[in-house]
Amino acid sequence: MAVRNYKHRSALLKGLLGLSVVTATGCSVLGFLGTGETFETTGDVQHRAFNVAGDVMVPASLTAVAPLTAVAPLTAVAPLTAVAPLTAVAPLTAVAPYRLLSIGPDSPSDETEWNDDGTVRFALVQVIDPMTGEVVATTRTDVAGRYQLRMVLPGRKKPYVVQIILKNRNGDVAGFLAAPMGINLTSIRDKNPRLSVSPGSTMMTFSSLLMTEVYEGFDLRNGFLGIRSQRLATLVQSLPPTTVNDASQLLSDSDTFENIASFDAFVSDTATASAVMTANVKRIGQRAAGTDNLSGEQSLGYQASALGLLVEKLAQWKAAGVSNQSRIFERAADEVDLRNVREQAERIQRDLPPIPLPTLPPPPGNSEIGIILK
Amino acid sequence: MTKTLHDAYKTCLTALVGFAALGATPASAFTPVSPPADTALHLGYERATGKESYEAQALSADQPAIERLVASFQGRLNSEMGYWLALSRGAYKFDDQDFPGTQHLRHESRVNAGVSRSGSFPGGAWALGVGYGVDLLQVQSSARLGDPEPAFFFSPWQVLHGVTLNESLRLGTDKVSVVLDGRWEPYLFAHLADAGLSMPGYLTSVRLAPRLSIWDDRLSVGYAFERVLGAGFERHSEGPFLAISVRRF
Repeated sequence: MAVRNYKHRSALLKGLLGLSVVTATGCSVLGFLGTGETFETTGDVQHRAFNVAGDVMVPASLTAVAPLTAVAPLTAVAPLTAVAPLTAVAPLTAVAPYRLLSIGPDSPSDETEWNDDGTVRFALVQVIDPMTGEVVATTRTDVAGRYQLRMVLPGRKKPYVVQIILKNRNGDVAGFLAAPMGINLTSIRDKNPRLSVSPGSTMMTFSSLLMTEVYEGFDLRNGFLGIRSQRLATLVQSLPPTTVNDASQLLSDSDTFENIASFDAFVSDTATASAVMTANVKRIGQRAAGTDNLSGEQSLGYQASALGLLVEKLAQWKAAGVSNQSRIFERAADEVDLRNVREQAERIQRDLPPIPLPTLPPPPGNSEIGIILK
Repeated sequence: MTKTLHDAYKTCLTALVGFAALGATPASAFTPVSPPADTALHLGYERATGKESYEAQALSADQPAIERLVASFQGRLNSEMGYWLALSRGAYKFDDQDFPGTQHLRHESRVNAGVSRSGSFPGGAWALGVGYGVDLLQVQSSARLGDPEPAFFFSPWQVLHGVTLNESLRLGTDKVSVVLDGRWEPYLFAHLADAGLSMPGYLTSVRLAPRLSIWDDRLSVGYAFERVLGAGFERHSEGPFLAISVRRF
C-alpha cells in the first residue's frame, strides 16, 4: 500500500513538473502554472484601419451612346474655365478657371468598360493624399463596378481624394470621376465607410478644388496626383464619406445629369454645377462670418465648415426622401445653421497647422456667362 | 522562421509532458465526468487556435495560440454518483485588426463544479453530469483606446456563467479506449466591464473533446472543439490536448 501511494505521488510530481516546464520556460503566455504574462499599456492607439467600399458609376444615359472603349476623347480641355466666374460672390474672392486632366490605368488586366446601369467595371481607383499629392492606394472595380480598399491611418483623421480616370481603347482620356473622402474614425463603428464615386461626388470634389490655390495646377494628365494643398486637405476633411455618399446620390439623381449624351457634356455640366455649389459655400461662409476681412486661415475655416454643413444638409434631404429640386444649392445654403458654421469654423481653424497658407490666386474677372450671387 | 522554431520548441515541450506522463500512475479524462471509479486528480494542457467575431462592431480576430491548463478533482458519493470541481486557466495574445500595432492579452479563468451519474454497458461506460460554470476573461491591451464608444476587444473583463451539462462516453478496453467528452452550457449569462457595450444575447457554449485513453486513462491525448455562440457573436477554438491523472490517492 505504501509502495502504491509512493508511485502515485511520484507520478503526480512528474506531471506537475512537466506542466511547469512548459509554462515556466518562457514559451507560454500562461506564465508559471497559469499565473500569467502581463502587458504594459504603452499609450494611446496609434493606428486605425478602415475599409472603404462603394460603386464607381457614370450617368446611365452615357452607356447607351457607345462602349467606353469606343468613346471619343474628351475635347473639354478646360471645362471649368468658362464657369469659374460663377464661383464669385461679390465682393468675395472668386477663383480662376482651371483645366481638367486625368490619368488612367497603365496596363489594365481587363478592359475598363461600363455596364448598362452606369457602373464601371475594371476601373482603376486611385486614392490620393492631398497633403502630399501622392497616390497612397489603388484598386480596381470588380465586374459589377464595386471597389473595396483597406487602409491604415496614423491617428483618427485623414483627408483623401478618390479618383478614377477612364480611357478609351486608344488610351485617350475619355472621362473623369472623383470623390472627397474625409476620414474621421472617432468610433469603431466608423471603420467601414461607404463611398461611391459618382457624378455627384465629382461635383463636390471640383467644388473643393475651386476654393484652393492649386486649381491652376490641376491638369487632366495627372488629375489630383501632384496636387499638394493644405486648403484642399482641410476642405476634403470636412466631407465624411457617409455624408458624401448620401449627398452625391441626391446630386447624381438631379436633372443636371439626366440625358447626358457625352463625357464632354458630363464634365461641362459637372463643372458648372460645382461652380454654383462653390459660390453657395462661399455665400454661407460670408454670411456666417459677417465680414469680408478674413485672414486666409479664417476664410478656409468658414469655407470648410460651410461646405461640410451644406453637404450634410443635402445628405439629410436624401435621407428624408427629398428628390429632384431646382436651385438645390441655394435652398440648402439658406437652411444651413450659421451658428454651426461659426462653431465648426473655429474648430477647423484651431486644428490647422501653424504654417501660413499660400496666397490664393487673384479672382477671375466676371465673364458674360457668370452670375453674381448676392 | 523564428516563429516556426518557437512553435516547434513548444511542440517538443508538450511532447515531453506526454513522455513524463507515460511513467505516471493511471490517469483519467480531461473532462472530469468520466465514470467515477475513485477519487482522481486530473491535469491537462491544451493548445488551441481560435477565432472570434462580434457583429455589433463588425469585429473579428484570429487567436493563433490559446493555451490552457486544467486541474480538476473528482470524487465519489456512492457507487453511481460522483462530483467534480474543475479549475482552468488559459491565456492568449492576439492582434487587433482594426488598430494595427495593438495587441490584446487575455487571461481566462474557469471554474465549474457539479455532480455526475455514471454507468456501464457492454464494451463501454457512460457518465452524465450537471453543474454550474463561471468563465472570467480578463483583458489587457497594449494601447489605450480613447474613443467615446468602447470597443469590444478593449473591454477589461467579461464574465459568462450558467448551468453546465457534461457527458462522457467511453468505448474500448482497459488498455486502450476511445472517449468522447462533451460539455454544453445551454444558456450563459454575460456581463461586460463596459456599460457602453452590449453583450450578445442567447449565449450558449458547446465543447466536444474526443480523445484516446491509454492504459486505463494513464494518459489521454485528444482534440477539443469549443464554441460559444450568441446573437451576433461567436468564439471558436480548437486544438490538441494532453491529460494525465492520478487516481486512488
